[in-house]
Amino acid sequence: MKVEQFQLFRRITLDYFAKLAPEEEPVLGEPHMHFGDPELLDYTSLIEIEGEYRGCIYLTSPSGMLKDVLLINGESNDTPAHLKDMCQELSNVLSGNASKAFGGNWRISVPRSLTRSEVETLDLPPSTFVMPIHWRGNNSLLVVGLRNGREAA
Amino acid sequence: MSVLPHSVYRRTAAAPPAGTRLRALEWALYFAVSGTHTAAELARQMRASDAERDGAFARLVTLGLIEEQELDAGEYVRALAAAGNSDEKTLGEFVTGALRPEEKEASPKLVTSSPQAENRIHTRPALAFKPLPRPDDPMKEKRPMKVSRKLSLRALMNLIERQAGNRDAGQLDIYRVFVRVDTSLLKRNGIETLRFTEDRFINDPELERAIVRSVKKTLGMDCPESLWVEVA
Repeated sequence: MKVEQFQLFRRITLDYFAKLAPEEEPVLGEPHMHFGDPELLDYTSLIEIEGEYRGCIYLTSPSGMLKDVLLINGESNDTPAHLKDMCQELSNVLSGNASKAFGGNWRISVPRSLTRSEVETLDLPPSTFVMPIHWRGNNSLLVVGLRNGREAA
Repeated sequence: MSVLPHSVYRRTAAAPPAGTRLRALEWALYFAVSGTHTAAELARQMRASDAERDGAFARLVTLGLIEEQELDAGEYVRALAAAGNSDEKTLGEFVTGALRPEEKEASPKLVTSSPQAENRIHTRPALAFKPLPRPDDPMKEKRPMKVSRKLSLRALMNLIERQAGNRDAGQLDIYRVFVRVDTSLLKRNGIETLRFTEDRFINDPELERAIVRSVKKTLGMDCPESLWVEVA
């Protein structure tokens, strides 16, 4: 993963939120590394990546943020099904952004929308690079998880 | 609830329940607490006032989202130093200086017999501090402190960032180094979350070897001696 690709991916993902509410742009918090059980919020938009590395990228969000995005899109229903649909939409955005940023050498899985309990059943990479995103009073985490092995060389 | 500036908090095991709504500062502090930085440091980083800081920490504690981390004496003194202001103090004032003005005022008043003595006391607020009794053998106090050399993660991360040329590239390189380190080794040394600006001294020789090996394998770089610092 080249730094330019990483920067492009992060920028276009933040741009997505900035376009949703131009008056209130997202703020990137101080990044950190997390080891062990993943940091998870209510819903997770996830894609798996394989190429130069193997791993995944996910955006994990609180219900409040998804409800806000639904409202911005004119949808006042915020049932769990609606929230999961919104989470799926964000997965599609992540997938598109990853394709654009990381180029043709990467295989990107079908984007997935998962509840917290569903993600907990997955075998996610134990070491993650976490970027908090503060937006309209909510905090999401944009996470890159790479696996150890030859892919991480 | 009173929040001392040098208190250190960590997230509780319980995740925020679905539907939890917090103010932006509260979320920011929730994600920032990791048992390594004082309340004052985090509040400074978020540019929060004392009142905002106290309110946010109190609410997070009340909601059961964070809890205060217990410290040993050395950690406590480091926390005081990290939280405090830069005014010159005596040792006694330093160690008790974290008391807030209102707490100082609430400390026991001295009973005086003359107005002059009372004036003297009022110019310097009484501190609720009793010196420890003298040790039986004063010479024990003069023994040299044990010093050991430990790998400083901050020194390592600074070096990698400098080599990479820019912050993003450096942070990615640091992450790639840690991807190769067994997370169970990190966790057994209490490293579950690591910010790129924080310091940890590695006590565990196995973890130290794993990190040094990964730096070599990932970045082709030998760790210079300057990454080891003397720690009392």
